[in-house]
Amino acid sequence: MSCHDLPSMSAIGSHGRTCCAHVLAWLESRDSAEKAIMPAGLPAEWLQQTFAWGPSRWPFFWCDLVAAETIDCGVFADLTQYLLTLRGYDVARVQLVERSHRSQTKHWAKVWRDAGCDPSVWIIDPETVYHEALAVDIGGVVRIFDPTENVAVGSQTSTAGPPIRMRLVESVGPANSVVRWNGVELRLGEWVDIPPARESRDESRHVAGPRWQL
Amino acid sequence: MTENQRSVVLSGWHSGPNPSPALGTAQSLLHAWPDLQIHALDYSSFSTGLSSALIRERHVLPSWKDADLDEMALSIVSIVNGLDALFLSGLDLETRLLSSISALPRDKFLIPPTAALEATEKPSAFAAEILELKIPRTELATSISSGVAFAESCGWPVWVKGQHYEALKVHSAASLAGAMDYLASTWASGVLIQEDLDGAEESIAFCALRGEVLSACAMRKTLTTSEGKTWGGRVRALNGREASLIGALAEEMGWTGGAEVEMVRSQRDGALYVIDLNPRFPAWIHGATLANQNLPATLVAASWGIDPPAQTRNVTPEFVRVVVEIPAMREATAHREAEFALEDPGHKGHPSEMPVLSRRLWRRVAVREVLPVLSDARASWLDAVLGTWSDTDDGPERVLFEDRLRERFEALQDSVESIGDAYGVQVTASYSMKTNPDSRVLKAAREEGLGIETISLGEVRRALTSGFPGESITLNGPGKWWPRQLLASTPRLAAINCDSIEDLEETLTLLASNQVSCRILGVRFAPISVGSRFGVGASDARQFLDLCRLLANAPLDVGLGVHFHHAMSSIGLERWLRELRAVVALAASVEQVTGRSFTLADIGGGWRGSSLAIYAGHLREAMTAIGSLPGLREVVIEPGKAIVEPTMALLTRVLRVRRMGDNSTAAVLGAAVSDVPDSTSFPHEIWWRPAKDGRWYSLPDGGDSVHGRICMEHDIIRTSVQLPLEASQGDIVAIMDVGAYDASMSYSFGGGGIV
Repeated sequence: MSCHDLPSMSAIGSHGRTCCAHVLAWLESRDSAEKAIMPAGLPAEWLQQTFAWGPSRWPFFWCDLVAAETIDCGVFADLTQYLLTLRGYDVARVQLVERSHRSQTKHWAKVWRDAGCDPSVWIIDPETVYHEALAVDIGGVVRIFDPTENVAVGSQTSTAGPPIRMRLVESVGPANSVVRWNGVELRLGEWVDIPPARESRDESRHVAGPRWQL
Repeated sequence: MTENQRSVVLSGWHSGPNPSPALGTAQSLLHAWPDLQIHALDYSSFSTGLSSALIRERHVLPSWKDADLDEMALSIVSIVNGLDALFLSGLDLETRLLSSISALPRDKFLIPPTAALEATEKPSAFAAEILELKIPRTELATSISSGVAFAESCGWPVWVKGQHYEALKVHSAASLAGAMDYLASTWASGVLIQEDLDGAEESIAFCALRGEVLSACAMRKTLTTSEGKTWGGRVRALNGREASLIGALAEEMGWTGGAEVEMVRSQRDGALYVIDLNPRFPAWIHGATLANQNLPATLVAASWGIDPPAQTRNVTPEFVRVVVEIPAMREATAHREAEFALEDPGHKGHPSEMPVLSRRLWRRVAVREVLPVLSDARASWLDAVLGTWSDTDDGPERVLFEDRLRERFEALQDSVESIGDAYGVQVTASYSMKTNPDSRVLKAAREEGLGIETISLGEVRRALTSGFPGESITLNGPGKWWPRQLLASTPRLAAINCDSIEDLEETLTLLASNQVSCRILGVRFAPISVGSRFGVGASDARQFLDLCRLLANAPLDVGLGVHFHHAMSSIGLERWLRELRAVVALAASVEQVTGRSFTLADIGGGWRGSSLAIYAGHLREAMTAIGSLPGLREVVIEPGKAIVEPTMALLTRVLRVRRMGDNSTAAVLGAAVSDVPDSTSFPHEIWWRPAKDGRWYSLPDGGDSVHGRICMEHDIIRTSVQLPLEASQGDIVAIMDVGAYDASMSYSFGGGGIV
């Protein structure tokens, strides 16, 4: 699969009716409630506690969240971007290609098939998978963050494999159309190969630690 | 002298789930100088690290139990001098003992000066100030009651900490009392109560020589044991600001030796809080060495006046611990095993016998205090009741302090009125009948103008027969329509608060069929982050949408209400307020979706009956939290415990005074846990009136206990109390503050149906 064949950025749809409007109202108030409980926390924390990572049927709509027991990385990324933007952060989408183990991809493919979902949309080959993440501007420093696991991309505590290709899909706010990640320059819309030596070295994790903190 | 001729003496060799640092320190020193001679010093051959092959020679000194402390300290000095070695202590109390010796050769003993050690004492406020960090709310517990009050203001759980060693997380008043007793008896030093902060734990380790920092690093725990001890971590260098602040701390204290600042980054506010400052290297120090931060070798090199060790190439910022079996240095003798089995519980996990040393250093003087004579109006009231007793009356008799009850209701009404004026909404109080349905209490509540909160149709009936009009009755609870046969005679109520989606559905059906009627239809919202069986979980999308659907179709002639109730005494005010704000956020969204406004908020918090002024202060904070509901016109509060708990006492007689196996004393009363069923949720104050004296005394904390009369192991009314020396059969005892659930939930047991 070449870069041209990779999926486009996942986007949760709206039916334009009350079914989706009411779920958005719940989502926003739930996030406000969580912020009241834990002002220093982030939406990704409660989203992780509410939804397990797993298959989502696409097209996915806001009202599908009500019955969803699992959501995939695209839903996690779009949901988290929506809530972080509401909280005032500049957030952009990032696409990744990550290494994986054959045993993992075999297992994931079965889980996706059992749920009636096509695993080939994200399992590129037995050792390579597609993934979605976010670039977040934190006080002028842009960090690449994996909302599915609530860790910095490339963190050793991540269960995902190291990234081997990355693409910045949107500008991070009006100013950041170029983002640096571990010495690699991510330019808007371009797939960038991650040199092997940098695959697993995310300098930001030295500051952020295993849990993501803004 | 070359490195392979030099010696270092290390103490603190036990290596268990809560290890001492000597083994890691030795690994780090040998990492720098493989031929260095490591001498191990400890006070028990059961310190497992003594079996390490890294050790050149072992010095196991006598038990602290029998030793002369000064002589022991001089023995350590003699060993170190004899080897011409450096000494690094891994045991905090040993450090304190050695540092106090005037003749200590400080060029060889790399430990902080005494003044610095005193400044590190918990809660480490001095260090936190210099480091520009916070400390958790902390209080030196002067009594169990003060400890419980502090814990309730913070919210459970809290930490009970020994002044120098050990910390226990407790979730209730009963476990707090047990922890305080255990720590005081094990360590014989002061006991602190500290709020519990959720968050990632971080540490900074540093080493310094005469106030100058030589090296420092930070470590974040990535894996912990069930006790919260490090099992894996990630090490990093300090940033410039951190290094500057650590430098200032070491300089201010004239620090020599290793140190660890333990911190937690609070999830609540993202700030770092200092938890502890240890006067030694941490047990994980070799993890730092693996990350190219060899602090022990840097300290030792500086002391020798040589260059610090060269940096290694293979840097691994993360480390983990593993469990490995190694040959034991020596077999445990049967004699020694037996000796350990007989030791007190404090010995477990402390083979270096630090509890023994602690008790030697800070021995508590067990003095039977002269007990204070009470000058309290309640004493006269109790005497008046006793005047009606014959010599053979043993009680128990529940005594209501009616004057006090009236005063509290009046004070509450004054507060409610002033709060309503201040916030521009109508505020009313509804007495919680279930707390104590005594007819005298209900009468006082009605006469003082309070409404009444009920949890069943049975209680509604009781309220009506006590003179409360239907329009002053609020009906709550998960099974509120019990017993169903009373439904037909139930009048129009002030409010019905529904506990679940299913309860709301049924209530709407009853309203639609005119079987019930009310002015306000309320919904109890479940707390967000606290487990509770009550309320609609509006943080769940399905329940939120169901709630919106039902309320959108509620009768338009019924107003809507938000009901929030959770025991503030169990989660603390701050968390209670955060939960309330979270509920308000969800309720505001329900308003947005349904197009209906919540006009009434009904809030309850299970406040203890300590101070009405505190209660009123908390209510003002709650009013601010709910103020963001735009359509709000009324607020109802539901006091119960806060009013009536201190208005009753239980009078009884001492049936027996007996000596217990641990040499403490117990009094067996003519009452039992069946008369004081809430005795485990908070330690009740005990008043004592010796038969030969006739005056009342309040018993202080101590090592004795007050037992009930029934044949149940758990029939213990109060522990950790100090009985009078002259306590004897026939004395009178009053168990105070039994006016709430101790009254309403008491039951008859073991009286043969006569009592």
